[in-house]
Order: sequence, then structure tokens, then C-alpha cells
Amino acid sequence: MLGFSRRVLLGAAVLASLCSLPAASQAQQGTVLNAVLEAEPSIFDPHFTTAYVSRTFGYAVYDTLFAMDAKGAIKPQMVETYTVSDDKLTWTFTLRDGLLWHDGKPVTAADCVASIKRWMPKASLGRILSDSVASIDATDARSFTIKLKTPFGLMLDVLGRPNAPVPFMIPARLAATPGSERITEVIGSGPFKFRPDLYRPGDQVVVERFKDYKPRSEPADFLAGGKVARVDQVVFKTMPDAATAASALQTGEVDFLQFPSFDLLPVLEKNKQLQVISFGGDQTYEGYFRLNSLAKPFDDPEIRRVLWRLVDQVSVLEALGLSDKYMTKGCRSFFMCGTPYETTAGGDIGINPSIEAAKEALKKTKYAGEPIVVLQATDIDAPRISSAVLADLLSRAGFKVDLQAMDWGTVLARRAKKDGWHVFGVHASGFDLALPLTHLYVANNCADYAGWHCDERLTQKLSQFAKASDEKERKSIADDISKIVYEITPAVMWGQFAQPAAYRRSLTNLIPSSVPVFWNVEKKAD
Amino acid sequence: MFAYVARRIVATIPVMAVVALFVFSLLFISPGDPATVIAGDQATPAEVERIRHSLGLDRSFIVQFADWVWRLLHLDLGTSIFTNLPVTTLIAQRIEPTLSLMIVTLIVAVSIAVPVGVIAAWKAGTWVDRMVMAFSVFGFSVPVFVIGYVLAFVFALSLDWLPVQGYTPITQGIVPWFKGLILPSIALGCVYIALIARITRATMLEVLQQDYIRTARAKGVGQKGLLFIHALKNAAVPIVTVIGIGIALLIGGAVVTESVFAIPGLGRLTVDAILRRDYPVIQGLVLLFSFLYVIVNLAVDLVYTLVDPRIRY
Repeated sequence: MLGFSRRVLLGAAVLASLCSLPAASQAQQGTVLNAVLEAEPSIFDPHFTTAYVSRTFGYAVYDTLFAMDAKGAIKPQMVETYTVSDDKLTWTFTLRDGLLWHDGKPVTAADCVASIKRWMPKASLGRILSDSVASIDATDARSFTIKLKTPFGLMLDVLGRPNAPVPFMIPARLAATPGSERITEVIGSGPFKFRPDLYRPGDQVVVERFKDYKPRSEPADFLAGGKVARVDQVVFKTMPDAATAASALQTGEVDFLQFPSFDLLPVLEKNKQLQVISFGGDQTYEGYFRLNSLAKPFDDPEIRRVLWRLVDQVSVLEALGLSDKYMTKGCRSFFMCGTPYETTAGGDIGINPSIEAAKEALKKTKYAGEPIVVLQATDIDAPRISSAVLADLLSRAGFKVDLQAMDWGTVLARRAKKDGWHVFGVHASGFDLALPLTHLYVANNCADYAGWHCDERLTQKLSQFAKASDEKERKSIADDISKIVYEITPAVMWGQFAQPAAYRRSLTNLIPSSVPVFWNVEKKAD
Repeated sequence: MFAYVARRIVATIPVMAVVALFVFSLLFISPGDPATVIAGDQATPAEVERIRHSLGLDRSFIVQFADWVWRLLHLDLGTSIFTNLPVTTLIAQRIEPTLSLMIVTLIVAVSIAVPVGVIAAWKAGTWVDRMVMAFSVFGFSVPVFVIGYVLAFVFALSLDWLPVQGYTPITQGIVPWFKGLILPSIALGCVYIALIARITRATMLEVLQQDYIRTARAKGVGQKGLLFIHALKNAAVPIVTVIGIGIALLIGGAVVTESVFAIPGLGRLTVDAILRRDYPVIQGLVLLFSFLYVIVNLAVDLVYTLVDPRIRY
């Protein structure tokens, strides 16, 4: 055996080698807000992905030309003034003076033009805008124009809505990166700047207050208004385990938790040191069962419509462990309830669903006992539970069911194929679903998008919606769209619900937002 | 001895080659790819295809494998598809927490399990022995994450003695480093303690029946010396074997423990990489783990020569 002195030397050598590894997190200073988001932010290119967590990161680090306020109105953000020509074909935007990138260089109109051009083909709203655009050009250092082929009434919505990917502005040199590749630096003009030296994949992403950020003079109002950073650093910590994250919030190791697990919400609500906030309208989520319109027997719309008689929109929410106050019960609006385009037009088929009603409806169809393949993503709660509930409901209604469990990555791969599946459970943000042009299961009409629903009437209505001149006209068209989608049934709602956030009461002036934002918030001692 | 060690190290090369081919093939045929995960739920197939092309994932199996092997021969494990960082950088960032957890767990487990196993054998048939065996069953039966949750609830959430989660690098202080590892290493160590204690007890029971133990006792050797010098040394070979095999348990258990306690180690890196289909990271980690396991086996074989002078290579 080794002598004692040799053992001591060996131990010291191991310790010394461990000590030589670079330290992490040593440069945190000032007020630090620790937040746990829905997932780890790992893709920092704001135009590259539709992932919601990348959007959250984007709002910290980047800025937008326009932004949405708490009432849903679109307000100027980076833009100081804008004008529209009398023929509505030329929009001219002038940036606020003094805007700087995180590398100290001034934000110019050319940067914005390059950013918009890079973003447009990547976003559904951007593609819609692109169809109407004739040219986008910088006219001077702070001004640029968008010239249109036809009037486009949704210009500000397109530039200001928080639909992922958001039209965040980046320097032109980075916007020159092809859309199929990611930018190599994270340089924005937002209230926080990224600290690449403190980035630890799988552990933390750190952003710190950008001292040269020039906020608007108005008070903060959801994503609009003055974005004043009142904490020095925000650390996005990665905590994959929901129970651990909830415990860490209770002990004060983290300050903010975006998605506490539903079953732990009662525990957090009872804790006097914590605050649980909920949301409404388009800040909630809607769950859907997306149907494959090409796979027999769901190629028959009559059989698809049976699901309106079956899915009650409460079973899944209860199975998820939600309490009543976080549910929007019985919402039959395809564009969600409490939203600008809420409508139940065509939705009478969904009144009073039941197993018996579904059985009766199924008997009247040509269903011949084909197995219905339900894809169940087991690593995310909402898809996992919703798919399990649907499998049970389908089975009780008389369908033959094949429930297949897999992870979300495999669901994405399986659903890309036109056969081999019939339905999967999923949920999405109200920002996407509340607007017909961005509703995944409406707007992707006749597109190569999993589900492949196609109806020419819908194509026309969506086009009319995009070109409508005012809100009243858009609402009327939304009613027409609702009737068509209830008829063709590209998807069926399983429930509208809020995903509350929780935070410590030492945080004050937190902006209530389903897209977490960390300007305006202050952190006091516990 | 040197020749033996050299032969064993050279023998890892064909092992690694087989592992490399197996892992690469398995990933290639498994459903899903990182392009769909990166693009997000709302992306069109055209966008996914663009990303797939930019990542080189649309190339044939042979081309991708040859490219990877060529890089491997230059000690380049590639770049993470998700983070755009070199795989070696990710491993270097994450290896300290995992090594710390494994070493602390190993020390805690062996320090507890071996004396407990020895005492259980000495007091075979008594309540002490039964308590040890009961704990052994408990340690095998209760999942690591359940023990972890209970420990976190009691010692972190209720008593506020220790942190719930996270890892503090040793460079930021040995006390915070150790405090952050206490609960995870106890959670992870329970099954390890159960295993080693049981094997120690069984082996010691056999050794304590031997003639030389009776002789030592007759010669007046004290109980402590009898157990821990004469008996334990002779029982050490199977115990060392189990400790070596148990390191594989630790690697697997570290995955769960790191997730429960939010420790940014190799275990979590593995899980995240698998869920995201981050192929270069998965391939790099599997090669690393297989190499580590080969080295651990070699180390166990070498330790035999220390505990039993009759064993020579």
C-alpha cells in the first residue's frame, strides 16, 4: 500500500488539478435576479427558431421596432415616428436618436432593413408581409421605407406582435448571416446584454444591464413603453426537475419560476413569501389535438368531426392537475376566449360533448374499425397527458386506438411523415393562436405542415383577412374562418388554460407577462 | 507490470472502435434529428430541411461516419449542434461536477459500507446484522430520485441547512463546494452503500471461518485487528471488484441525481443531448464513458495486486 505521505501528496495533486479549472459565476455582481424559464435558452439567434424560450431570451437582449402593450395595441418601441402615404403603399419609419448596439456602435436604419429582410422568410407573419412588399430600403442613417405592392393593414402587427420568431433587430453585419445558419455573436440593442464569458450550457445563461440603453420615456406597459433595467444581472438557471425548481423558489435560491408544475401550485400559493400570477386572453395557452387529414380514416372530415362530440375541454385540464381558476372552461372559440377575434361561429357541434354523443355520431360515419395511432410525447406534461386522455376517450367512443409513447423529438420526426399517425396532443401560446394568420392549424392551410388540411375557401378567407382594411372587417372574416375550420376540423381544442408563474415577493414591479420580461422589476432583500 | 498496463491500454482501441461504430449507427437509425428540434414546433418542413442541410445531416451514412472518424483521429470530437461549442469544451465544463459527485459519493459510500459490512459479519445473526441487511434492502429498493427528494425536503426546504440545488466549483471555496454535494452524494450513495455492505458482509463471513483467523484469535490478536487487518485484507478482492463495477452504477445514478439536484454535470449533458438529438455530444460522451470504464476496470485489476501480493501480471 502507499505510504501515508504519498497518499497525502496524491490527494493534494488531485485537489490542485481541480482547483486549476476555471471558476464559473464569479463575475456576478450587484443585484442578481435568478430565474428558471420553461427550458434552457440555447439558441440565441432571434430569427432562427420558433422556440418560445428563445423569444424570452430575445426580449431581454434584443429590441423591436414596435411592441404590444397590455391592451394588445401595437406601440412604437425603437421607432420614434412613422408615416403612411395616402395610397397606403409607402411606410416610412424613423428610429429614435441615440440607440446603440451592445458593442457600442449606433443602431442604423440599414441594420433594421437587413434584420427585417433576414426575418421575413422565417416567420409566418413575415411571409405574409413579404407577399405585399415591393422594396425595403434605408433612406438615411435613421430612416427606412417599406414600399408595398398592395396596401397591408397589419404592418404594425407584423412588426410588433410577439409571435415567434419575433422581428428583433440585429446589426446588419450579423443579419448578413444566411437564414439557415445561426449568427455567431449575440449583439442586440435591448436593455440587457449577453455575457458569453459567464455562459455555461446546461447551467446558466447570464445577461447584465446594458448601461447605454436608452429607454422610452413612457412607463413600461407589457412589452411596450420604457424598458428600464433595475437589476444588474439576470441569471437564467437551468433546472430540469420541476420539484427542485419549486423547492429552490421556496428557499430563495431562485427568484422567479416561469412554469411551476401544476400540481405544486397549491404549495406555492400557500407560501407567504411567494406570489403566483396568472394570465388571461392571448397570454394563456390552448391545447389542441392535431389531426392528420391524409391518413385514413381521418381523411374523412365526418369522422374527424366526431371528436367535437367527444372532447369536453375539461377532462384534460383536470388530468393536468389544474385548479378551476386557471382553466377557461368550455371555450368553443378556435381563436381562444378573451381575445380580439373570439368567435364561436360554426361551433354548435361542440356543445355538450359526451361519450354517448360521440358513439352516436361515429355510428353514422363510414368508420370501419381502423386503428387510430395517437402519438404521445412523454417528456412534456401537456402532450403526454392530453394524448393519454384522448386515447381513453376515443376508445370509449368506439374507436380502435393505438397509443404510442415516445419523446417529443421523435413525435416531430414521426409527424413529418404523411402516414403512420392520426393525432397528437400539443399546446401553443395564445399569441400564435389568437390570430387567424398565425394560428398553426388554420394558417398552414394547404401547406406542407404536419396535418395537411387543405380547403380553398380557407385560403381565400385568410387572404381577405390579411388585406382587410379595419378591425370590424377582420372580425367578420374571422367568423367565416371559424365556420370553415369547424367544418373541416384540422384540429380539436382540448382546453384553454393559464400557465401561472411564481416569484418571490422580494421582486417588485414585475410586469405580469406570459413572456417573462425582466426590465422594470426590482429586487429587494428577502 | 508495465507491459501488462501497456497491453491493456492498447486493447482499448478496438473496443473504442466497436463502440464508436455501434453508437453512430444507432443514432443514425433512430427516429428524429436535431434539425426538427432546433427549428421548433411551428417550423415548415422547408425550414427544417434548410437546417438539416446546413448541419450536414442530409449526407449519407458513410460520408458522415467517415467525417466523424477522421475528426476523431485528430482528437476532434466535433461541435455541439445546439450550442455551437466544441464537444471537448462542453465535456471540460461539465466533468468537474460529475467527478466531484462521484468521488465524494465513492468516499462516503466506501467509508460507511465497508465498516458496516464488517460489523454486520462480526455480529452475524444479531439485531445489528438485521439492521444492516434491512438498510441494504432499502438502499436497493428505493429509487435515487425518491431519496433525493426526501433529503432535499428535510434538509434543504424544511431545515434550510443545505442548498436544494446547484453546484459550486471548488475554486469558489471548499465549504460551499462540499455543502452542495452532501445531499446528492448521500442520495446517490445509498444503493452503492447497500451493495458494498452486503458484499463485504458475505465475504467477511466466509473469511472469518478460515483457520488462520482461528489461529490469530488463539494467538491473542484483538478483535479490531482481527477484523480490519487479518480478515478484511483477505476479503478485499471481491469488495474491490464490486466497488469497480459499482462505478458504472454511479455513472448511471449520476444522470438522475444531477437532474434532481440541478448539477450541471456529464449525466445531464447526456440526457439533454439525447433529447435534443445532439449527435456529436452523444457520440463524444459515449466514447468518453466507455473509455473511463475500461480505465476503471484496469485500475481495479491493478489494485488487486496491492491487496493480494499473490496476484501478479
